[in-house]
Amino acid sequence: MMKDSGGIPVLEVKDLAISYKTRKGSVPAVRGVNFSVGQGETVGLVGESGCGKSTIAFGILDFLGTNGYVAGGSIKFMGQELVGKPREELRKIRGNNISMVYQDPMQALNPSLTIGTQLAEVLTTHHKEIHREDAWDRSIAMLERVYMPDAMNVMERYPHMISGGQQQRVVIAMGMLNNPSLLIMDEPTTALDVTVEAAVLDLVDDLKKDFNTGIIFITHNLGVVARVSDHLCVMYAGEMVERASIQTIFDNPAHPYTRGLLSCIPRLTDDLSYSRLWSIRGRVPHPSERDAVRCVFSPRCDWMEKHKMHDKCTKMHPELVDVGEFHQSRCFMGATTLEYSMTDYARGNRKILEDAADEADKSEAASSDSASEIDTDATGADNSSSDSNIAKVKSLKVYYEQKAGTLKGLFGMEEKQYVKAVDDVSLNVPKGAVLGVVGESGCGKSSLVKGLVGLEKISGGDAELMGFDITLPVAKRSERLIRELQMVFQNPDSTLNPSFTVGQQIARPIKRFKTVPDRDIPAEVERLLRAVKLDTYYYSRYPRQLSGGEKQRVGIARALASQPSMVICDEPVSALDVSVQAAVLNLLNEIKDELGTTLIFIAHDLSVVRFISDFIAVMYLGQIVEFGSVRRIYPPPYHPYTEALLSAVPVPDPVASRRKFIRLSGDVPSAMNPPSGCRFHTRCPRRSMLPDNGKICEEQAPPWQKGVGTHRIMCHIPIDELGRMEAVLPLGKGYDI
Amino acid sequence: MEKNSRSTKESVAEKTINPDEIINSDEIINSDETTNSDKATNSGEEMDVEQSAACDKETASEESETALEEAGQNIAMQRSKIARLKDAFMILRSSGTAMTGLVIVLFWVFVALMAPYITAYGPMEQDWKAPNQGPSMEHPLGTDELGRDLWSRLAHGARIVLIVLPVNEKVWIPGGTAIWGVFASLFCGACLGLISGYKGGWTDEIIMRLLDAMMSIPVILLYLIIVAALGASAVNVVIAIAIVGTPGVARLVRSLTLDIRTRDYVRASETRGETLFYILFMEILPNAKGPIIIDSMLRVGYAIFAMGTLGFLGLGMPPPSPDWGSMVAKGREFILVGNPWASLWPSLAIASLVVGLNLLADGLREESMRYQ
Repeated sequence: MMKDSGGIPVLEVKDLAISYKTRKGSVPAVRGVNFSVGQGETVGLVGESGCGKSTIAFGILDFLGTNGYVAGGSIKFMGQELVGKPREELRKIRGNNISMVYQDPMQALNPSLTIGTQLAEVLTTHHKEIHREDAWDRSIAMLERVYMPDAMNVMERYPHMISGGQQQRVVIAMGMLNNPSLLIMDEPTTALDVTVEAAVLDLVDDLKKDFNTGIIFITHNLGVVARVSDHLCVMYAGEMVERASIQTIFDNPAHPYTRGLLSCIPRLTDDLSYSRLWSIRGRVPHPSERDAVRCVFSPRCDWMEKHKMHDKCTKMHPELVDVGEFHQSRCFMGATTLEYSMTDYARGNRKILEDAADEADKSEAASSDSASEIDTDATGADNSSSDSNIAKVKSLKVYYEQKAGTLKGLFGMEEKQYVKAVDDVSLNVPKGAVLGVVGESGCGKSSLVKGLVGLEKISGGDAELMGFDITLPVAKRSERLIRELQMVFQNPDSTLNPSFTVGQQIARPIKRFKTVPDRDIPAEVERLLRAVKLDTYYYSRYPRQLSGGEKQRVGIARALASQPSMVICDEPVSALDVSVQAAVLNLLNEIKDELGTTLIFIAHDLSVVRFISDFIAVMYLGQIVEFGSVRRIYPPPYHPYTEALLSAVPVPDPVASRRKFIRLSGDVPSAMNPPSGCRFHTRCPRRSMLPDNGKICEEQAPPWQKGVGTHRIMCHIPIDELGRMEAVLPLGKGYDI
Repeated sequence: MEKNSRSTKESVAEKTINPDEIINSDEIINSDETTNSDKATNSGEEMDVEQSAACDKETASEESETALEEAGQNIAMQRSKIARLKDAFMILRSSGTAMTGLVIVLFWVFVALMAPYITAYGPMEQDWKAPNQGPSMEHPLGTDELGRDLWSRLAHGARIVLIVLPVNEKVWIPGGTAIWGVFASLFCGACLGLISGYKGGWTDEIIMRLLDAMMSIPVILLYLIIVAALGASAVNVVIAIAIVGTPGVARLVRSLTLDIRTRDYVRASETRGETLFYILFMEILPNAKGPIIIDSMLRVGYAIFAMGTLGFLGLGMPPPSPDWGSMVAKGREFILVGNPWASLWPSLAIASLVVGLNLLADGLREESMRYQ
């Protein structure tokens, strides 16, 4: 094949500009992009959404749709110019030498064909000489190459029969089958869990070494890109604003945007006392609003004002300038930014955390009988005498009945099967505290909160909030209780009703719960808008006119409108860009400090919950496996599952991200027939620490072991032994090590 | 910061804005962001606002939007109603199919509205001297077997379809027979579909199975049964159209509801403990309106077709009234005699109006899918 290209880079993109035709003429989506990908080299493209990263990928593949076109520049693949080539020729080049891996594996695979058929097809379509049997064997070999367990059988299965992580492996295998010279990966891990993401990234890292393929890795997550890339191109509003080797960018970024992006990320290695994240104000301008005669980043740039560059930045368009060896930045400041160290972005201090945790610890110590109870079933500070707990949950169960699939079941002759989404969960939430709940998807986090809020039927156990029973569905709850417990939802695009203005939607709960007299409603809405840092003119806007972060703020304002004592946040930031995520996290932190609202914050990412929570509960398969204050969750002793979660968190630091990994094998087992004994025993990497390779784990449910203060671990391995393990990450100050 | 931004907003708002510039930002197809469709960006103002913002040392305050965006979007809000209308028209205009349909439909609406003013004879006026004639100067489309002016009957027939519903000989209410029929089926269908889709379970099963049973009866037979049972009159035609149309509407609304009820805003209103009525009609229905509107355009077409059929079978409007279907039926007898006009014109009228509505609905659907 065309593998030996001599010194020619696999892909060379020069001054690429891509535009879309619209009803109002053509709108540039991408301009001034230069980069090249060498053999075995990985180039990362990063930036917020709407910055044109995917457009570049589609431009290379000529998948721009009916209205997109390359407006200028050149794309050279192996020295061959791709721009202006006829479709048929492009198709041949693409099929044999360029592969693409998409974000959502479920959409990339055909649900009605077996995986084997789809894989073999890749070979037989493009190489007529390859026989079907041959192609089949090679597909199996490739599946094994991407560490697919049981590859032979997977070939016969349909895409829906394997998990998301495995699907993505199949898509990657499909991409690699042709032994392509260039692999484009468009956010390949965004739709996956952290643990699966880590494993896929390991795989990409491996493949890169073995196949000598050039890879373009598109992502918005700087932590992910740090793991796999050699070079990095930072995109902003369709322009490439910085390009350098990965180490240079992470050590000393030049462009203000890159600096902002890096500072936005909540890091596990930060001191615990940091309570404010840096966030870039404003948002990415829409393509039609981008101005060719000024710096696109200038409206959001702090450096411009600080360094009195205003005239230059708003009147001229900066070009890429060399600021170091293979380091370019599109900024008038040029290399001068490098003189400022990254620590210039100070982060504020958080105050409430220490008190809340300590208080809980003290009251915990005061109650003498708690320890014995813990051993039986309860998690958390189980001192019912203390009124500092706003919510108490005891052996809560949320089961879903599985629809009978057989004829026997249809007539009720078979034993009913239940999906045990939440099984025996007990916890207490102190007033004014933030409880973070983490775990992979399918661990029952959402079912737990939906049960609490009354959207799912609770199958057993007790739960109360401020003395109200909250095991009833929402229709049977008193108005007073409904008022006290509100929820913030995950998806910014569906959290607001598109048919009503922001003001109407925030006013609705106020009207319904009559928190203020009718004539004061507009004033109250404005107050709430200000509380979530939105200007009052948002009152008359429709959701479609807002960005994701703004929608999420309105969602928060709506939840706060009934003046609740407790707000449940179901992954409120996981669908947002880092810069926006930072702002929303800051906002939640402020609200908690100012209003004293108790929050339950769900996330799948341990770095996000660390930043906002006072207590953290780690959930696995419907159960809480570790609970403790934030100071004690991150340093050892860990529950083996927590340890694995921690080591899977992508860290935006090329050195630290190549740390030792603990990888979980397989997926979360079905909650219908959870494994016997310890539910984690099927995937536990630490079983070998017990005699008989952890036979006890398969037979007996593990006991709760008490750590310092409220800290509790549900594991057979003695807590002292767990405590002797090495910390997964070098932690900042403030942890209880 | 706040003070400053407010003052800039006001200063910008005072300026008169060319409405054309308000909607100059089109949604970019295939681009990542599809929001903020109407945002004003007047380059002159931009500079102005930008500078005043820069004078303010505190613009660095983190979460606030820049003064530029505030001002721009604020103006956009004031004009957003007009802008949205314009946007809707832009969508229409960019589709040839929809425009063709619109022209045909508007033609018939115009004819129906103006019927008394654009015809020389009354629809029931008989000219004994000139029965069964082809187009001439006196009768532009010709006359029927009783010497009635075909153009006049056609125009007044359009009136019954689109503009007035004759309740009895004296009383009529605005809104054509076809329109009323579709409205009635929309109302019943939407209610059933919403309840069935949102409630699920047994409620859903019972409602949908009953509607399925109705759908299993051939449409024409159902029409015949209903009208034969109730008697031939405009109101009964409306009832027939409503009953026949309900299952289809219910199915559509149910499937839209199934999708919308999983959205977080519905969950949010559930956590607020809202009533069923509020959730169905305030949270779900408004967001299903797009497909429903397009579907009901098609349904008006079907309804016109149904009216034609019923009229043809002698079950439409009572005889002297200018009903397109009965016109075809009467004229049919004279085709072989050498006068096809009496049946040709009403057939063309039915066909063109139905095709026009279909084109309009198809074009709209296509365009709205493309731009969202």
